[in-house]
Amino acid sequence: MPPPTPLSPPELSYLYTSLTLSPPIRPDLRAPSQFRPIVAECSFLPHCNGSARICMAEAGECIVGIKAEVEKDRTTKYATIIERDKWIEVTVEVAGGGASGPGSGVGVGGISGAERRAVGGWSSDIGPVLLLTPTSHPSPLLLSAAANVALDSTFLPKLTSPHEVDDIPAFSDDWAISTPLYEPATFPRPPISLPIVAVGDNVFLDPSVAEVAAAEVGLVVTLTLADSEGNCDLVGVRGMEVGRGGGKEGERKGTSRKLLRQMVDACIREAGDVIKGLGESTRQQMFRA
Amino acid sequence: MASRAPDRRRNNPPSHGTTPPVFLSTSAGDINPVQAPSRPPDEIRKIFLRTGLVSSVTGSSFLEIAPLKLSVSVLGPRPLPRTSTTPFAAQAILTTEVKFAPFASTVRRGYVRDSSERDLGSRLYQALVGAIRRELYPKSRIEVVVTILDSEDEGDEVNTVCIEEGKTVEPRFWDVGRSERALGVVLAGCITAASAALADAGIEMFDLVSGGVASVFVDGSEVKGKAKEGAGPGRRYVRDPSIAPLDEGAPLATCVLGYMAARDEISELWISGRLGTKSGTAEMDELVDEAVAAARSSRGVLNEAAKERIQFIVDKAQSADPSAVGGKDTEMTG
Repeated sequence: MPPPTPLSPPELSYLYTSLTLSPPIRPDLRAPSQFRPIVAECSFLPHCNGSARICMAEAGECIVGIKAEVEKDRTTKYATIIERDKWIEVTVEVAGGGASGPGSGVGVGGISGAERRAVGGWSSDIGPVLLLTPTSHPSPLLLSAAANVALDSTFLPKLTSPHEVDDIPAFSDDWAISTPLYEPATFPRPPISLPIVAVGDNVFLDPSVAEVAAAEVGLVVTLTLADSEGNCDLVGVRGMEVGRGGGKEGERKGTSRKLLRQMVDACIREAGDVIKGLGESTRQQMFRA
Repeated sequence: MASRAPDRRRNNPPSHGTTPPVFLSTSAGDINPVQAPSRPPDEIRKIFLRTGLVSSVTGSSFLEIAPLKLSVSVLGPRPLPRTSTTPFAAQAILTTEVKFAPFASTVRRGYVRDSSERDLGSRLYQALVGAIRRELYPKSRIEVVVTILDSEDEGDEVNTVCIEEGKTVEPRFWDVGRSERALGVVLAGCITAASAALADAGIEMFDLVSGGVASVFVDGSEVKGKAKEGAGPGRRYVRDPSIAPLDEGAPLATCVLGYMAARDEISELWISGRLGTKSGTAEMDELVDEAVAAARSSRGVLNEAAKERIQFIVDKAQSADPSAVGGKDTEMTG
């Protein structure tokens, strides 16, 4: 089911028309690739290995806590997994309004499909809690930005027991020697999912709920920063449910490959700056703390 | 994984499952069991697709691609229930439901749909909703119910190396995107079969949607580290990748899509894995083109299934009432 639309058909039609203009006019007068301002905080939950709070003026608020757990490798009954310990399992659970919301899987899938980092024997649970009902359609950006900042600020205690011993490992209590999950200045960085919609031939990043209702095609593009020059790697693309409420019903039923390219291209251009910006603010806060 | 609340209403088997006996001496020599004869990378597996097997619903189909078996039932269009939250709908409301049978994979599935099944359902919705002419069916709903009877295992055998005591084994890659790839193959099958069932139900559509999957691998002839750097060359594309035997290593990325061949439009897209973007979307484009090619191949099967069904209905009508045939013909030409 598409997200419920708060707009009447004439309103949608008006919105559709203004978004299909060249240049398009967005309801809040943003440029097509302009994001809404966000407030990002990190590592403030004392019982989590990493945490983040993202607040978007219009799109709600989200708190993410990351809890690392030692987990027995379930697949080793008759077998040995080699190179297994290079991966860290990341599971995402959304508490609060997001769990049953339309397409809440969007942001989640994008994150869990991402590159996992090398830390021996760890599994971590990401538990985002949506504090306010997001007014922006299920807010993949809100969720993934919060997960991004939280992952970036996650520290794991140092392993003190020898690695080979087949026993419950022991860890140091000293947080001063804990290791970051994502070593600073290494790549890839934690990924981020960018929502993008297309109306006519125009594409819009970070669409508001009204724009999603009027849009014809929606995508969530997950990217991760691959090197210091700002090149990004594409780690996931998923369709996003949009309202198709706009004027001309029956005009477009799917996406042409050209439009698809245009949408992903727009995300690739912006993602580097977004991830860098979030990383920068995370670093500043971590050093301040 | 998230722990689910136990299902207390039914008499369930042990929640941790049961383990079949594993005989190390035989399994060690037989890690890769019987493999299907290798097929070229640009060829999809054979598809068995038949419609109209379930008589109690408006339209139905059954699809088999190697181990994957699923049946789709289409109910409706029928009026919205009185208790519906939306008493009026200008366009038909489409609902999609995907359910694995409890015995469809080695890990037992519960009776209640879990998150991956709900997710598959919403992707199937995405793939189909644009293709159906919903404005022709106001105040009604169309339900698509997919039951997966058998699937390529989502278990971890591929990532597991059986070892005999005292033996050392070579390090193997860890196939990260495996469960996603398995779900992708299932989704592509769901899309193809669901379009066949919708056509069987006589629901008007703009175009049939067919599903396609493609994976990109690092070309085996190239050095692993080097291939990571450059984009473009050294890539090998496999249409309709199988889940189990991966001698090539883990794929870099997998793309699943729903494709409307007559309109050349993509109705559903799902890419997971890792693709470089140094040359813009070039790497993604190539992968998408491969998946589109796979979807085109399965479209051929879809067309045949639809044709077969029409032929069946026409034959039945002719044999039942020879006098009606003339009238029908004039109707069609007129």
